Amino acid sequence: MLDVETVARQLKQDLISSIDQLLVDLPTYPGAKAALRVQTLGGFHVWRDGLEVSQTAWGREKALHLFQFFITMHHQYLHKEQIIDRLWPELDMEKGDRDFKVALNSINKALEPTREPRHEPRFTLRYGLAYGLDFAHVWLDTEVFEQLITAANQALLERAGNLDQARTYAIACYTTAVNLYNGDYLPERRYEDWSSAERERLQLLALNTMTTLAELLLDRSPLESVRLAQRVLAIDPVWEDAYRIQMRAYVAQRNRPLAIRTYEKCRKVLEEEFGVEPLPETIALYQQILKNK
Amino acid sequence: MMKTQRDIASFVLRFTQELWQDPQGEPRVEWRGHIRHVQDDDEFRFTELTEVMNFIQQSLMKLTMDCMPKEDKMYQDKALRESFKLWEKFATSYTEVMTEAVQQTVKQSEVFQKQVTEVVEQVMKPWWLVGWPTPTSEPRPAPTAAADQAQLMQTLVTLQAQIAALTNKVDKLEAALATAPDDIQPMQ
Repeated sequence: MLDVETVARQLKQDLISSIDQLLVDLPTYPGAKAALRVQTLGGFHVWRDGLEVSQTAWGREKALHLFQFFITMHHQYLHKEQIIDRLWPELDMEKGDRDFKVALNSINKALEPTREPRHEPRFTLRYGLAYGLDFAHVWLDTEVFEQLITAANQALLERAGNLDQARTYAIACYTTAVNLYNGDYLPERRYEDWSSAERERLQLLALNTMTTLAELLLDRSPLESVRLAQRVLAIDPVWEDAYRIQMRAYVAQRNRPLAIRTYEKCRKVLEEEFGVEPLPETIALYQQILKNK
Repeated sequence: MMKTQRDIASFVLRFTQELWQDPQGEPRVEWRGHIRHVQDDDEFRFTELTEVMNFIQQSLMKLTMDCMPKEDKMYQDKALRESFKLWEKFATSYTEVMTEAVQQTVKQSEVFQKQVTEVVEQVMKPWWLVGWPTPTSEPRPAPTAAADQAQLMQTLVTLQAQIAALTNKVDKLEAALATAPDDIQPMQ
C-alpha cells in the first residue's frame, strides 16, 4: 500500500513533469532538471540534483535567512552593507561582516558540499561588493508560477491556432500555476518586512489567476469553479468576484438554494468588514436568480 | 540606542477599486482597503482613509511602548509624547502632499481638498482629548500613567473608527432615501 508521503511525492513529480511539457517552448524556462529546485510557496524547500537539502545542511539560521533573502531579491545584486542592514540591523558593521561571511560560506557548503577548495561557487555570485544568486541553474517556483500565467495570458491574447485550443492550453497553464501556489510566499518569514512586498504581489497574482480560471471553467466544470472560488475566499473573504462566480456555478449545477446562500454570505461579510452593500452587479445577479425559479 | 528588528513597523496596504455606473449612468467608485502590520500580523479592513490612519497611529504608539518596557513611567510618557509629535508632523505633511497632488490633478475640486483636511483633523482629534502635545495651547487634562494613556488612546481610536463607519452608513441611508420613490419620505 502507498503511504501518504509517497503519494505526495508522486503528485509533485507529476506536477513538475506537466510544467516541463507546458513550458517546453519557453527559452527562459530552466526545466525540472535544473541543478537546484527551490520551493517558496507554502513553505521553504530546496532540492539539489533531485535530493532535498536538509534543514541541518544549512548549518545555521543566518545562512538560511541570507539564502531566502537572495531568492527574494531575485536578479538584483545588493551591497554587503545593504544586506546586513536589511537582515540583521541589530549587528554592528564588524560583527555583521563576520556573520555575513560565515552565512555565505554555509550556503555554499549546503548547495555544493563537494566543491573543491579555491573553486568559484556555482550558485552564489559576487560583483565587487555586491552579492546575489545565479539563477541560470535554478528552478524557482515563483518564477515558474509567473511563467505559466504569462503563457496562459499570451495564448488567450494571441489565440494562435483555433480558439478552443488556446483556451484549453490557457486552462492547463492556469490550473498548473494554481496547483503550484501551495500557500503564501515564505510563510516562515511572515513577520519580516523584506519579504512582505513579494508575498503580497504573489498572493494577488494567485487570487486573480484563481478567479480567472474559475470563470473559464464555469461551462466545463462548475464544481471546480466552486472549489476555486472557495479557495479565493479562504484567502480573502471580501473578494466579491469570487462570490459571483460561486453563485453562477451553483446556478449551473441547478442548486439555487446554495446560490442564494452564497449571496447572503457575501452581503453579511461585506457589511461586517466594510459596512457596504454588495456591488450592483452582484445584486443584479441575485435578483436574476430569484426571478428564474 | 542600537536599531533592532522590533523597532521597525512595516505595513502592507491593499486597495481594491470597485467602479460601476449608477442608474443615472454616472460613474461611482468605491475603495475597499486592507492593511496589515507585518511584525504583529494585526490586520484591518477599511473604506475610509481616517480608519487606516488611526490603525497606523495605534500601531506606532504600541511600538514606542513595546520598546521601553523597563523604563519608568515618566520616561515612557516623554517618549510617547515625542512619538506623537512625530506622528503629528507626518500627518500634517501628508495633508500638504495630498492637497498638492489634488491641486495638480483636480484643480477645481475644493470639496475633495476639504475632505483630506478633515481626515487629518479627525486623526488628530483623540490627542486633544487625552492631552498629547498639539500645536495649539488648549488646556489639557493631566497625563495619567503611560500604560493607562495607551489603553485610553486605543479605546478612543476604536470608538472613532466605529463612529466613522456609522457615519458612513447613515450617509448612505440618507442618500438611498433621497433617491427613494415619493411615497417613502425620510423621517423628520
